[in-house]
Amino acid sequence: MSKDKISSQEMVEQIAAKLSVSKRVAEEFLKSLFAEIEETLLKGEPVKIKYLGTFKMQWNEPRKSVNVQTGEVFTIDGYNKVTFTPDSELKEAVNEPYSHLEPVELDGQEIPSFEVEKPAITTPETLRNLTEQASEIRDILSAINALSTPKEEKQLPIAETIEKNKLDIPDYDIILIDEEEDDEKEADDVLPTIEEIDEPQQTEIESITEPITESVIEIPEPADIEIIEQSIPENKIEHEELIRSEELKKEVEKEETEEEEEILPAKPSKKANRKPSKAIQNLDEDIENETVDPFILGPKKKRKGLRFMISFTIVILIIGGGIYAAYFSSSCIRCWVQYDLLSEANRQKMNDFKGTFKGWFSSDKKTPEQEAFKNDTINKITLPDSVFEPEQTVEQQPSTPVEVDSLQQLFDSRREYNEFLGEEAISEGTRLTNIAQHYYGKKEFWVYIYEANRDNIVHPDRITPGTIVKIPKVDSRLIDKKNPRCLQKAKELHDLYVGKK
Amino acid sequence: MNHKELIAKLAERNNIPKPEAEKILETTVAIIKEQLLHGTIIGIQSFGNFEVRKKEERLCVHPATQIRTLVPPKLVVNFKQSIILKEKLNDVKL
Repeated sequence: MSKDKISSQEMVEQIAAKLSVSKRVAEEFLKSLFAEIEETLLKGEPVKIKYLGTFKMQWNEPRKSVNVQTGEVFTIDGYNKVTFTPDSELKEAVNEPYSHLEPVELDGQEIPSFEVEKPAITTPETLRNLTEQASEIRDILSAINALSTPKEEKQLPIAETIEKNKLDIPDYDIILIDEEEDDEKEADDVLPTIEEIDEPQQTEIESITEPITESVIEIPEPADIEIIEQSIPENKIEHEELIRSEELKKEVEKEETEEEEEILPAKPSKKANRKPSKAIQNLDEDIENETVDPFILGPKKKRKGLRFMISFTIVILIIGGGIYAAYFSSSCIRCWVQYDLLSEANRQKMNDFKGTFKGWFSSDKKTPEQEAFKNDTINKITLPDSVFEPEQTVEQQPSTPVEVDSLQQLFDSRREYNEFLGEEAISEGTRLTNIAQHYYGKKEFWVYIYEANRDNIVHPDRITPGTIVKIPKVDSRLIDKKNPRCLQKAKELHDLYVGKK
Repeated sequence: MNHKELIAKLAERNNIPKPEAEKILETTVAIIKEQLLHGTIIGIQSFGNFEVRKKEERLCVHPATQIRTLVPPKLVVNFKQSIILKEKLNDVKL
């Protein structure tokens, strides 16, 4: 991108044209201007020009440096230089195209993902250093390793969790779900370790596969489960054989990934998964079938547990919704009335909830508030007419019963836009935030512009160029940029509008 | 030296009244600003260049809290002194 450059001569011409003075006057003036600045700077004084900025002379200390080619150390002499600090107005004007951007804090979750990716990149690098033949063999070996090592890791947690099941039978349903999570976590944990193990073991799988099978057999277990566990080592060995033939490798991989996701008590089904591969190997299925029978109950229990959990959460959410409604209806009763769109039936229901549950949870104040968020989905089911329900719940969120003041009422009341400050045509690159910055002095208040123009704008992030946006006159109390609560409110609305489709 | 002093000096040098000097100075500044907004480089002979440069977005890590922040790109005005001016400045101190 080549930039245009204008010289002082062109500057002179422009000044002359603008002020309709002779070029000579303009030229003399410009020369004298910079000569004056220069002289003052040479005296060591700063020069400040309104709307442009400040010129200053700065002494750069001598410093040591190294010649890159010879490694020789030499000193850079100290020198003076002129620094220019632009006036804040000029600075903002220049940065206009990017003014809507703000620093974003990245959440910590991304950091581990980077760390996990690294070893994955390094392994192929080490392989590349080897000769072709060796690398080919190692490819195969490492693949086998990758398949067999996670097995070792996985079998152990399985055995442990089975033991847990044995001990905690009374709480079976609830524990199942806990274990699901545990199991998944463990499966995730295995991933990085696989990669670590891969590198050193590339050459010597034979010695490693043996201990793996041993380690599985050695696991201590209750008598009931022993049968299954014994069959597992068998499977293991089969797997090793399977793996040797490359064609079947992928198939096994698939099964293994399925197993990873398969929840613990679904062990019998896991066995069923293995059956096809077994059939290929022509091994007897009798033992297998015997071991499956006592565990047929497994999936049923799992299903039962799930159903219990679902119904439990639904009940909790409904209760939460009821309390939430009861909790806020007293403080915001006016708002409720204003929401004429809420059907008669809804209000009736809410009142019912209020009556029934107020007594139970009157002390418990925080939970209903939190659950109200989840409740949105439930509300849609139980209260089919409540299209406006989710929006309303969010709008009421900041209101705490202690401080229901005039500002809060202003926040909660439905905003109507009748007066307009002006219109603005959206061009490519214009954003509502920029417009808001211009009209209201704070970009956060773009939400009100959006609210006034909802008919024209589908989504605030995707405004078609050419759209004419009306700038509403908003209550000055609402867009008080010094009041943190106004900003808070605008932020909430922002989340609401940007978050939704 | 502040704005007023500068205007006074300029008026004296050019033998023009102060208000006029102020007017011309303001126009000059306005033109510089306008050109900068267009992305044009303004070269003033024997003084230096004014230029708008883009600072790319970057990741920075808070050293104490380890919070990573994505700093958005921005446009800044850059002034680079001419070699003539630099030599003059050096002469002064030496």
